[in-house]
Amino acid sequence: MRLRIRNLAKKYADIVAVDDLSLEIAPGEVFGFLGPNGAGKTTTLRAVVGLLDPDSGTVEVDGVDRLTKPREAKRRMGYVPDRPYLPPRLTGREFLEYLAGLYDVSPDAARPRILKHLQRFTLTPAADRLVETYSHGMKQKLALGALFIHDPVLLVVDEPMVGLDASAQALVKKILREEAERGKGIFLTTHTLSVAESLCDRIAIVHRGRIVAEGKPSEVTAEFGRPGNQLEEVFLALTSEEEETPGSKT
Amino acid sequence: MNTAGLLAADLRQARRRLRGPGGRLVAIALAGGTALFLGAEIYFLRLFLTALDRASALAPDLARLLLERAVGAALAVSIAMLITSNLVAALGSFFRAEDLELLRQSPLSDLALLAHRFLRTAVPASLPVMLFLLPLAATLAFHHGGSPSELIRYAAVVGAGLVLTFIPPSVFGCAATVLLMRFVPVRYATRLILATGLLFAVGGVVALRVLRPERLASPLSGLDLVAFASALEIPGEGTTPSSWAARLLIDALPGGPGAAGSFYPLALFAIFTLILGAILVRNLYATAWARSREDALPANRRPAFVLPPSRFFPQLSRSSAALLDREIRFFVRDASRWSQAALLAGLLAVYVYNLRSFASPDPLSRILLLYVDLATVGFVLASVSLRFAFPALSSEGGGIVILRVSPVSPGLVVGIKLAVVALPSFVLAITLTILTNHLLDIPQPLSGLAVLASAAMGITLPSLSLGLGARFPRYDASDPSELALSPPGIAAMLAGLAYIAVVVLLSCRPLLRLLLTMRGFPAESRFETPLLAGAILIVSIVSAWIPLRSGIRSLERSDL
Repeated sequence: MRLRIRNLAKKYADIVAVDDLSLEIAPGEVFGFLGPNGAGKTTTLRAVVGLLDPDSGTVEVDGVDRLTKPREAKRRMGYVPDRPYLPPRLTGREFLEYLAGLYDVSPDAARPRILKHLQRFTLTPAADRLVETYSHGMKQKLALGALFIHDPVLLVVDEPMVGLDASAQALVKKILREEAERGKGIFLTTHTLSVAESLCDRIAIVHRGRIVAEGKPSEVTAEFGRPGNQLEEVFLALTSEEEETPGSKT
Repeated sequence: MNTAGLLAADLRQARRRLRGPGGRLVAIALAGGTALFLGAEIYFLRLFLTALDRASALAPDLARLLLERAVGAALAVSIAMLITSNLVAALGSFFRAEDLELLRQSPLSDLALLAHRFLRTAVPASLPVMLFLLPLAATLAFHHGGSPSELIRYAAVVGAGLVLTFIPPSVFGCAATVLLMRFVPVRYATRLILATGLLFAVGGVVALRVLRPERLASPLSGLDLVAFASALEIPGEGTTPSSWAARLLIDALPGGPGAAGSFYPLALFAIFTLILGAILVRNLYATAWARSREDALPANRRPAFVLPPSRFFPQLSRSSAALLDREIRFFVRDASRWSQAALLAGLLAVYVYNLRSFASPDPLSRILLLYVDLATVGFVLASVSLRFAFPALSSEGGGIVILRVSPVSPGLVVGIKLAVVALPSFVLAITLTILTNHLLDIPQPLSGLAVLASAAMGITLPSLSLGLGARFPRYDASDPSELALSPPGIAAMLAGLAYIAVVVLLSCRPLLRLLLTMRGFPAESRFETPLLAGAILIVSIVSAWIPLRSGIRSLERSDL
């Protein structure tokens, strides 16, 4: 398994952000994590990548326990947050070189990868400009390109389509699909249900920190909806009974 | 919502921050550091006042003049400090604060918004100065004596007088920031404003050297006192707010002539500057703010080429090299940082050049000058550390996520940052002390101990600031360089000053021994210097290690 989460739990004071959550992502699988604001999506992703430690439960990345062997686990994954921060005073190329260094990729291995991903995300003309001069879409593409520099086996992406125009969204979908076909596991969150339907092999709908539905998009629609329902209607039915929970970004 | 409502919201946020993770520790560190600093201040003030009492028996007028001049000088320095801190703080609260976009779009009146920004700037910027001046006034009062009701009356008059004294420099600092942002290209205005803090720190050092307080340690004569009092004379004596405030502090003492003669000019001047400042800022602020937004957009220019420094260290691991190269690129491309470093280097060169002219033929005075110099070097290093090392982790901003999800250990991140800050600090410290030793012709083992002490300070002070900055980071700060004025920043400065005091006191021990020997006491033990060197090293290692370890652990464990 590229990712195995077992009985993950995290509380912020009295607020339960993630409650006994378990899931698995197989090699070559794109897994969509859906849920309303405050459902526990970002907390789960952050616990996976090491930005916070869970209160209980385990996280295994490609068979390596993230909690007991954090460095080995981190080498195997790449993460793009929903609002990626890129150092403004580095150029796009320098930023990718910097990441290659952090992940201990040799310059000989890093150089062709940097060229490839700059080209893949149509950033070659801007490669030697400071990141602070990039548009939001360019920054998002650079952050996504940075995912691949150390060739991780698990990609964790929080809202990958935010700020991208239609053609860039199509490009990102294509690239994520290609990477899944190369055997990587992809764990993404999205609020855009059409993205989940078109891109994900499996989805999980999370509500109040618990998974309330899981399976292929068509299976979830069939199992939890009424005949003729779309994913959106199922999603709303499973998650819309009450007001938003207080911890808005959980 | 009005100004009071906005201030209430600020207070709620500050209270929550102090109740948040680590908040209690900041409060304890702040309280401990403040107590230590105030204790030292009161102790030295009492020494000074006791010496003045003795001088007063011989020449009462001269002693009073000296007291008035010394208090005036302290107030003048405080006012200069207030202008500088308000100038820097106003940049954040008037132009960079994230809530400004929201507030400027709201129906809040201009005057209410500006009043709120003024208080948000002036109150935190004034607190450290107030903390310095209140014990001064209290020590004066208790040393002078009086009935409880007289002392309460004195406290009330002095409290009001100090608030009035603080208003003009605060208005001036805020108005100057708005003026600069309105008329000078924003990029340059920002650099200029950020450089003033450092300019003040080094200006203070140069002023200290010009005053030469070490002269007071030599056998006092009336002539020395007159010369010292003359050196303390502030230009425009008697017609400046600092001299009015000094006279208020002394004249309001029980049995004194009363403070009315100083209180009214202070009140009139405060009201006058407040009205003038309000008119000026109200007329300029809207355009200045708009300019700050437009000019904040980055220019689409080629970045400065930086030769990766890791090329000179091929033995570094790839992750260390990546971190080092990035730190240097950030430094070179952040004009505000290197321009401040260049300014500091220039002013220190002037200082060292001047040191030669201060050298006295008397060997004891020269040795004493060495210790004053050691404390001065420590103060400069503490200021530099607070500016460059303390915000080093916070300046990562959102980039901390990149580091936390990478396999790089937090210890390496902190280690590289420490190397980048501590190496220049170490070189600066030992260069200054070796030069001083040479210029003052200091004998061994004193010169060796001084070099060891300054080398230890050169590494420990950045470590202490970096560690505390990592322990209490603010990744969401709009301008990390302003964190020096935050409670953890002030706690770091106080901790640094306490450490400097301990090191200088330990270094002074041989001088004390020398003085005792000259008066017929037993000669120096041959183990004394190595023991003192060991004590300095132990104090330094502990002072560096504890904050660094705490910062690294916090970086490893805290949730983002």
